[in-house]
Amino acid sequence: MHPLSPLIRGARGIGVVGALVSYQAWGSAGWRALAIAATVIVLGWFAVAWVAWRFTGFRVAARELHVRDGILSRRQRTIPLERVQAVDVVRPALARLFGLAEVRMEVVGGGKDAEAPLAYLTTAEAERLRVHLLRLAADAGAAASQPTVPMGDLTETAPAPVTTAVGGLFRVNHRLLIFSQLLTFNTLSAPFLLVIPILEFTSEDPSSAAVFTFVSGIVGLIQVPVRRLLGEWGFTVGRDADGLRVHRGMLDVRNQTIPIPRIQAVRIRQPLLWRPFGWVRIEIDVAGYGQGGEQENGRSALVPVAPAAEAFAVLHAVLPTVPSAGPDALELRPAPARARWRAPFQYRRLAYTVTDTALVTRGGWLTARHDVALHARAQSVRISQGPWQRGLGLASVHLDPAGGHTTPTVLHQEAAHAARVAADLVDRARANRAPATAEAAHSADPAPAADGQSAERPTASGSSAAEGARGA
Amino acid sequence: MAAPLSESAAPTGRSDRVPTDNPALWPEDAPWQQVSPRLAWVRRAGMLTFLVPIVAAVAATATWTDVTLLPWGIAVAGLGFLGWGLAVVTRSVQAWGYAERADDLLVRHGILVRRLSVVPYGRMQYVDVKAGPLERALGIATVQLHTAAAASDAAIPGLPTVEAARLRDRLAALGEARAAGL
Repeated sequence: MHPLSPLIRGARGIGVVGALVSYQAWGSAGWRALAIAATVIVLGWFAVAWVAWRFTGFRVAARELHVRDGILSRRQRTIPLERVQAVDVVRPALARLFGLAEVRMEVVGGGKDAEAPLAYLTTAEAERLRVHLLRLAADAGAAASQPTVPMGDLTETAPAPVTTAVGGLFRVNHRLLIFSQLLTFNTLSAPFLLVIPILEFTSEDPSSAAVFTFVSGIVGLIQVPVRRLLGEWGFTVGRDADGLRVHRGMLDVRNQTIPIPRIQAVRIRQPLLWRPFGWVRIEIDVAGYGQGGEQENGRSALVPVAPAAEAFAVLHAVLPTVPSAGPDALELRPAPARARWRAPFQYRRLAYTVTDTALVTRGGWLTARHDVALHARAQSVRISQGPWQRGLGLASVHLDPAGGHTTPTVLHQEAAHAARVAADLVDRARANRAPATAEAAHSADPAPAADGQSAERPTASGSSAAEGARGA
Repeated sequence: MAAPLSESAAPTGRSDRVPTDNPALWPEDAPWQQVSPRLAWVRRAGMLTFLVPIVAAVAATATWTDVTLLPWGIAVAGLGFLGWGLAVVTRSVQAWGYAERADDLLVRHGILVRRLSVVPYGRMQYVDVKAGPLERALGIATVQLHTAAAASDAAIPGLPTVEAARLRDRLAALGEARAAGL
């Protein structure tokens, strides 16, 4: 780790401690006592951060990443690289001043602790590590599915050149981003709520508790749009050999790399107020995201906001199964008319279709939504039928991708049809994930996978990787 | 390979007719197995320990204080709920079923809300066997499946201990053999 790491880590807490100390001690102690206390705390903080830094280290060995940290209770973690779903290079505002960055790996399973932030490295070092880890992860994934292939010593694999060609797919329009966030329910309702504390404040007997409650409520309301605005400022998506490259952020800059075969599901959302303008937001689900709490609900935007045609063109380039004219261009099968008794508001929009690689569902009333789940990623298929549905002879089918943030659901189809859809989804999921293992079992000579990158992680990719290649 | 679902792509007319027959939601030809009827006793005990103290407390309040109508109403409602629960418990236990197919495990349950989960062996991350004190006394256990998707974590309660152990070992072995990347 970079020697400046303890300084930055320490600085993070100082603001909080400083505020706390000054608030507590205001008036009760003299300036001198306060200054001494603050100095002691700050120095202590830095000392702890420095000792922690001394004990923190990592190394990449074979197909594993070893991380050790902790002062009193030492911890050593071993992360098998084939479980790495995505690698992010994050540059918090303060670290940027010093040219430092943090490498974060999204690991599937194991909750929050499994995520391994390596903080801080120089930006160039972080970038090199990112490329190296992704290559190793791709190799490890390929090796895990084809144990017969001799892999050679992975530690000696030369890191690929840092500058890889990034094919630009999308760049967010800042004016559109601002307007779209202004046109959310949260932002629009805030002024109405603001009236109450103003009235209270200007009244003859202002109650500070009431004002505080409402102000904190408003802050909570506009937090989401503000976070989106800051987090998705300067949002660009491109693709290179490793997958999707997302660059975003105003204060904290984040460079995400998402291998395309790791995409589990896609959500397309169109809030009511965006519809007159034809704006669309597309998010992708990657298993592992969201466990660290920094990613919103485990998703990552693919297109924060864009006119529909542009957004769908980007999606089509990533997932060719969705036509560039949007999912509605597919022939969707609507829910039967009697579904209106069960879902009176959204039944007109309820529809779905099954393509060769994905399930596409449509629904929603105020917010129009489409969900796409890939057969190759399906963890399980479920059917459910409530009492109302049984009375109407309807049933719903759910397809669960890993992570489970988005569960595309075929809502309220005829029961017999739903049963057939479920059977079909099960078959397609098996067919989509089978080829690699079948190949490995049947082919007499091992596939020419020695150079790793071209091996293209057979099990994990399935048909989506093949599609991805075609889309490029 | 998947047989193409012929009518799934072609939009059909929106029929408003509610079919009188209720077609089966799950494959009938699968080797369905039922869970142990002893599970009903666990469920009954659960209902009793939950509801009897409440009903008793409410009835006591009504007997020894002035308030009468509302507590008695609650007590009667609670007893009614308990009676209904006891009446359907056998059927609810019978509704549990599981089937080991060539590539996946089927689990179905529920009377009011009917559910079926299809979990491919290759997607199972790990398998738990759990048994509470009462379940142990009755010689049954619960097998809990875990996949990478939280929504698909299916459980099969009320398996005889030997069957639970066999199922766990078999699922673990099959999961190992067919493990698929994420």
